[in-house]
Amino acid sequence: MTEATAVTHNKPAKTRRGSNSWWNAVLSSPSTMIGGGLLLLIALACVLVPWLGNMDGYTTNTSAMLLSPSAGHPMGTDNVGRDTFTRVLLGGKASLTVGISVAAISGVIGFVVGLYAAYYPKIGYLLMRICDGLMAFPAILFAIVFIGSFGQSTRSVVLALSIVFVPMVARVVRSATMTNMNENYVQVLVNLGSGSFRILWKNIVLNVIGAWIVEVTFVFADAILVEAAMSFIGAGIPQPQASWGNMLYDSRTYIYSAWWMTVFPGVALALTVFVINMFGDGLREVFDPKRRR
Amino acid sequence: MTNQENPILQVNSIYKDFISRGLTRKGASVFHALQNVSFELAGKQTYALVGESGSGKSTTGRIICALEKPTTGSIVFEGNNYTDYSPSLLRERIRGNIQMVFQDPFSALNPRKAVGNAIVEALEIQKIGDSRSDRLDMAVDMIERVGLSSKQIDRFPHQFSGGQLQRVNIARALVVRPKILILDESVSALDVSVQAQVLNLLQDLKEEFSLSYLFITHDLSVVRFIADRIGVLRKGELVEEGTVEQIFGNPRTDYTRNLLGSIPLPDPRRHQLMAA
Amino acid sequence: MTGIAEATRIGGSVDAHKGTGEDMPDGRQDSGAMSAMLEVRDLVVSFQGAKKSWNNAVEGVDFSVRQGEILGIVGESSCGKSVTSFSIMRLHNERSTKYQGSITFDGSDIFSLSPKQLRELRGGDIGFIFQNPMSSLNPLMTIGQQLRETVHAHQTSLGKEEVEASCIEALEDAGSDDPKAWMERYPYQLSGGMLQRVVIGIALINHPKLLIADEPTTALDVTIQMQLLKVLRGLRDKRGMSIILITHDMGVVAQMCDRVEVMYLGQIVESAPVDELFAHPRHPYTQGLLAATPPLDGDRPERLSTIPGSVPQLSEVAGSGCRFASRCPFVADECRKSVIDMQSIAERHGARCIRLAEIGEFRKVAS
Repeated sequence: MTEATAVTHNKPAKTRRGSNSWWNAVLSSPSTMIGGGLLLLIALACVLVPWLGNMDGYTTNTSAMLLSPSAGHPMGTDNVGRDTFTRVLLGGKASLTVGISVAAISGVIGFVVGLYAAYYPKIGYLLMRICDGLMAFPAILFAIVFIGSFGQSTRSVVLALSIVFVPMVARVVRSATMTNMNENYVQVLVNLGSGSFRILWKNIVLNVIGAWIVEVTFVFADAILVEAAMSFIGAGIPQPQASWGNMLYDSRTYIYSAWWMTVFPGVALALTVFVINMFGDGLREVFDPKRRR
Repeated sequence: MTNQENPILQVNSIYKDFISRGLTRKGASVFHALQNVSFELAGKQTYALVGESGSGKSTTGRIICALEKPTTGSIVFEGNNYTDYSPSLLRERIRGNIQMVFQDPFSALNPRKAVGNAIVEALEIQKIGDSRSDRLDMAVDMIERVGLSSKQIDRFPHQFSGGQLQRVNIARALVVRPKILILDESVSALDVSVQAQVLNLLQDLKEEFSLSYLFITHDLSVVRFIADRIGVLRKGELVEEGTVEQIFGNPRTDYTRNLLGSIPLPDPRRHQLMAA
Repeated sequence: MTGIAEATRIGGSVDAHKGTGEDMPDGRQDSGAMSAMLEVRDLVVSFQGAKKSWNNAVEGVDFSVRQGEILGIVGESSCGKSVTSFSIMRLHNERSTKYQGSITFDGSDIFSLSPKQLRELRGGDIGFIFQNPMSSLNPLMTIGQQLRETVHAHQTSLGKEEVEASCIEALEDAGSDDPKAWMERYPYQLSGGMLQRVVIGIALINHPKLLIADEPTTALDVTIQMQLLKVLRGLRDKRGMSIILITHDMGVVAQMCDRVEVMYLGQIVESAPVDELFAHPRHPYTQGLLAATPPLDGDRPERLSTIPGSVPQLSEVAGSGCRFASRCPFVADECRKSVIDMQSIAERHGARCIRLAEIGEFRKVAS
């Protein structure tokens, strides 16, 4: 490494931690940059490639069943002759849509619930017991029950998973808020005559948002995994719409004869979750409270 | 004893019990943090509350700041008993008049807020000043008054040293023009050379802003420098009270004598550690 | 105090010291006191910073501790006193720390010891006391278990009763009034002062020759502090132990120490016997530090004398002459030109200042 680069790298390290220093910290964190970059790449590929290439993932073609990978079908075709490459991309689009929607909905609700649960201990006690109740069910069981009563659609999947993930976000936000409530700066604000709105939304939020972003990223990854599991058992995204989970379901009888049907959606799923987790771990480092002093 | 000119603050026999509840009756226990503590703070005076850890001195400070309520007893500010004021009444009449500076200068500031904004926020809460630029001007004036540069106003707490941050805390407390400033171990965490600077600053500000100080500390050498009157707390009880001259020159209780005798003197010729 | 001083290092003559301590009898203050128990020579400690840069935390630190001597290292926060004391036992993370210079303890070079020999030394011949007693004890083990564990780590051959007896003896020496009862208890059941006694007891249990105490009483009330200082002082008198006491409190230094090293920004700026230091402080920083302490008797001053400014970042001042220049009332152009070395003042008294003569004059005129 030359001296010049060493010097330029020293600067962000020094000014890190201010308001826009979060951005600097993100820039200097390799796992955040690589994870985030790959995630963006996957998302763009899933959304843009089928659209630009005008690709068709739904028309069945009995003359092209179970073809192994070739130039025309880079990932082969499935048992009803659909192009696996196209369906992997479309499945990715479905998975990422579910993941982002769940992360957004449970993130926002969890944030508000967590914040007020910490600020008002009595309400908080009640809310946290409800969360405990929700968390006592395995996520997937809860989601199946939900879909059983409200019908199977992508929207039901999103709603079911959002409810499942709210308590996880709320918990993290609540404990981060409680830590901040013990800091003297909150006492100072009370002593100046500040109301709860200012304390929560103009002060504590600034210190909680980091932990929240990290948690939401992990919810994103988890939601994709649970969605895949639900689709695999037939309780997720309805056929014929592609999803990695239901593609894996379709492939299970052909696992010995047509390996590509299993491998490509499986790898896509694993890779996406890995990349999101890498991004989340990078963010966790960026927002590490130990760096605050 | 009370023939000082009319006191700005009266603490009348306050008691504070902390009750910890267990699952059963047996599990519950009561801790008497304060028992029958009374004293008066005269205008423009410095009253020092000294005591060891667990003596209840910080609890007293928090009760006077109305961050906690006493179990019984009353606190009177300029003739108004505000012990049972509602939160909104407290905000209106008391909050701006009694300010507190804490021991840990880092924890008392929001780590993600520039110090200038923290001071402007204090003015917003107290509804002082007409516009943001107006408040910013006041913040700059106050920052400069406590010995920092106006250029530092956009910096974040981690970019300051402990001594500088304590100046910011003092600036934020004083910008709302309080009449009483409670200093809870505010200089204890600072290095000696910086502590001396802050103590001098406090002496100057007291004159300039006609402040009364309640100085809560365990450090008797600081007390001797800054205080007019001293109250010695021990396990929640005020065991002795008097002027600095009385307490240091002629302590009446063994406890105070022991406390005074335990300060290591910065003079190697006067041996205090004779017998083990 | 014994008569002959060690070969003075101030003039730069460093007498190589080879392990004569080995064949010394246990009795203290014999002719063996000539040689030092611990010698730190030209110590530089640097930590790895961002992107493989190395930052010196401590530079050119040079001192020695004789048997039965209490050496005070005094200074404000971030002056390098804890870094120095941690280096004596190589407690810094070895991967991100570079040491230069030498530390010789009882004839052996600390920097050439194997990890096993280091472990034997730590808690064996060198005891360590930290500022916060709670964090150096395991909250899930009784005091007795923790004491016994320390004994077993170093003396494997002892029988059960012998271990018990040495635990009780150590706690008694640390000032416990009821060692048997204490040993049954868990850390949360004892007060801060009691816990610090336990920590002292653990440090004492293998009969160390040197005790390093890093701000041992800072977190405690003054009355407890006084009791513990008496305990430490008594240990020196009874066991002939050497003690390095790290503190920021000039009062503690005055009452406890035989010699004092004053540190500022990673360097020792003044080194003197305690009486000499308090009677004739020579470095402007030492003078400032003493003057800034509010007096406990005599007239109550209107204002305290202060050292202007605040401690700068080490990176701002390193390599540009005197490190105290930015805050020194006596600063002159020459101070910023080159690195300042320790200047000899009297036997065993030195200060890192090139304007000592002028400052002395100035003080006379001022008073």
